[in-house]
Amino acid sequence: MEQQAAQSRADQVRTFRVELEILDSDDVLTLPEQAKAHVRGYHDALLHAASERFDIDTSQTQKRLSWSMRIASFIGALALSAAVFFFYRFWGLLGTPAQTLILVAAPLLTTLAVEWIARRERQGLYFTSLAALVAFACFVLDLSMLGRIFNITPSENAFLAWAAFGLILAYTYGLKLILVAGLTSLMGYLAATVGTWSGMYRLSFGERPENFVMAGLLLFAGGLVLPSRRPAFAAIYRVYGLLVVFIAMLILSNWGNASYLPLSTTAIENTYQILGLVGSALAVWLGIRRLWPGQANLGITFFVLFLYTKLFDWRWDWMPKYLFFLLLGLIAVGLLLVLKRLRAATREPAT
Amino acid sequence: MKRKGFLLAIAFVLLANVVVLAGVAYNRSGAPTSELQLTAREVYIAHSYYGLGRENSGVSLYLRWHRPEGPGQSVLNEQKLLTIGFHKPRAYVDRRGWRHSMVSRTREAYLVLEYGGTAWQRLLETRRTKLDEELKTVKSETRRQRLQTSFERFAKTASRLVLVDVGNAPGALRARYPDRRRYLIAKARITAYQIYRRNGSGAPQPALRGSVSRLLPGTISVPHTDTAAILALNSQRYSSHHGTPVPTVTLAYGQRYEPWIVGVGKAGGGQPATE
Repeated sequence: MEQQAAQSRADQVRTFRVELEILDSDDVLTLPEQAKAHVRGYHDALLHAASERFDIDTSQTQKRLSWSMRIASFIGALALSAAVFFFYRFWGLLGTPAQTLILVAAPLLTTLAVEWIARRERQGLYFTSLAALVAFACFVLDLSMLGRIFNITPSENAFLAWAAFGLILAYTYGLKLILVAGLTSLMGYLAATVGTWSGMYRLSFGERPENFVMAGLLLFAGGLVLPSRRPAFAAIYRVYGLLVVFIAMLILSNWGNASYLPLSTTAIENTYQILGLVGSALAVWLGIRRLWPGQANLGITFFVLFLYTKLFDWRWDWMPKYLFFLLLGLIAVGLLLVLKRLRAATREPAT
Repeated sequence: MKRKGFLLAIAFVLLANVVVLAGVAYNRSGAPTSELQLTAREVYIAHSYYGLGRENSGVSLYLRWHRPEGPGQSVLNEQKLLTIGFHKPRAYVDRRGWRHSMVSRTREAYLVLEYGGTAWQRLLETRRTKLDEELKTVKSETRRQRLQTSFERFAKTASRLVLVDVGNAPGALRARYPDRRRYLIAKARITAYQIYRRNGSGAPQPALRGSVSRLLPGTISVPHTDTAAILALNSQRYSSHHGTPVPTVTLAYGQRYEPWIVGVGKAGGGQPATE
C-alpha cells in the first residue's frame, strides 16, 4: 500500500468509527460487544501497521499538525533557498577556482542531504521537501553564477536543465513543491522556444503572452497523457498548465497589442475574450465530468474574471453604477443556478 | 527506484556542469576572435546601488560605446534591420487607433564596434560641428564656456568604441573588418520599434527603427586576481595622461563571442593598438 492509500484508509476507519457511534446512540445499529471488539482490534492493527510503515495521521489533531508542518516546511524551504542566493555577498573574496568548486559542490552535497533525509523520514517528507528545494536553488545558482563568472551568453537551455533536475527530484521523492519548481522552469524553456520560432531574442519571451499559451497547453496535455501512477502530479500538470493559459489569455483580452496575430487590437482582444470564456467553460465542464475539483474551480474563477473584466470595459462608463453592480449580481446568481444544475446532474444515485 | 533517481540527479548535476565548463573551455581555445587593449574610457565598473545587486561583492565591468551621429550615419536603419531578420510592420486601424503587427521586437545579432578609428574621428567632427553651430547662437559667455568644456571632456575621456556595423554572420563581419585589435565583434540584443509618419493623405505609415538593448553578456566578470587593479583603473578615469602610460584592460572575445579579461596592464599613451 502506498502512503496516500494508507492515509485514505486511516481516514475511512476514523469516519467509520464516528458513524458507528452515532448509529449506536440512535439505536439504529448496535453491534454485539464481541463483534465490536473484533472490528476494533482489526482496525487498531491496521492503523498501527500503517502508522509504523508510513507514519500517517491517525487522528484529527495529528492531521491539523501535519498541515502546520507542511506550511512551516514551505516557508523554511523558501527562506533557506533565499539564503543560498545571498551567498554572493562573499563572492568578491574568492578566486575563480574556489567559486567554481563551491558552485559545483553545493547542488551535489544538498542532493546527498536530500537522499539522507528521505531515508530517515517516513511520512510527510517535510524535511526532504525543504532540503530538495534548497538543492534546486543551489543548482539554479550553480548554472546562473557559472554563466556570470565566465561571461556566458544567457540561454533558455538553463531553464531546461533546471526543469530536468527539478523533475528528477520530484519524481524520485514524490515532492509536489519541487514538481511546481520544475514545471515553472519547463514553462520558461517552452515559452522561450516558442518565442525563438519567430526569431525573437530567446529571453524576451515574456513580451508575447502567446508563448505561454502554447507552453501551458503542452503542460495541460502532459497532465492528460502522462502515466497516472501519481494522480496528484497529473492534477498539478493540468491545473498549472491551464492557469498559465488563462492568465496569458486574460492579458491578451485586455492588451491586444502584445499579440503575434496580424489583426487590429480590437479584433485580437475580442478573439481572446471569446476564447477565454469558452476555454474556462470547457475547463469547468471537464473538471466536473472527470471529478477534477481543482480544474473546475480554476475554470469558474477565470470564467468570472473574463466576464467581469469585459463587462467593466464595456459598461462601466455609461451605465449607472447601481445598475452595473446589479448586473454583476444577477450574473453571479445565474452562474450559481447553472452550477447547481450541473451538480445535480452529476449526483450519484443514493441506492 | 529512489536510489536510481538519486544517482540520476547526481549524474545530471555533474553532466550539466561539465557541459557548461566545456563550453567555456571551447570559447577560450584557439586565437581570440577579438582582442582589444581598452582603457578606463571604455570600461566601467558595473555598480548596483539598489535592489538585490547590492549584496554582490563581486566586481563586473561593462563596455561604453557610441552610436554614430549625424544625418545618414545610423547603423540600425530600416534596411539593416530587415537584413538581420526583422519584418516590416503592417498597420491596422481600429477604434483604439492604429497598431503594428511586428512578429518579433527583439533579436540577437552581432555588432561591430570600432576602437579609436575613423568612426570615432567622424563622431568627434560631428560633435564639433554641432558645437560650432550652437556657439553661433549662444550669447552667454558662461554657457559658451560650459559647452566648450563639455566637448573637450568628451574628446578626452569618452569611450572611443563606436558602432560601425550589425549582422547575423560573425564570419562575414570579420571578413569585412579583419583587424581583431581594432574591431570588436560581440553579440547583442537588438530591439526594433515602429514609428509612424503620416503620408500625403494623412494616413499613418509605419517604419522601422532599431536600438541596441544591450551587449550579450551585459557585464564582464572581473577575476579576483584583477579586482584591485580594475578598481584602481576606475579611480583614474578622469586623470590626464598626456602621452604617459595609462592603465589598460586587455579584453578578449572567444569562439562563442563571449568575453573574458586577459589582464590589466599599462600601454604607452593609451592609443588603440592595431594588427
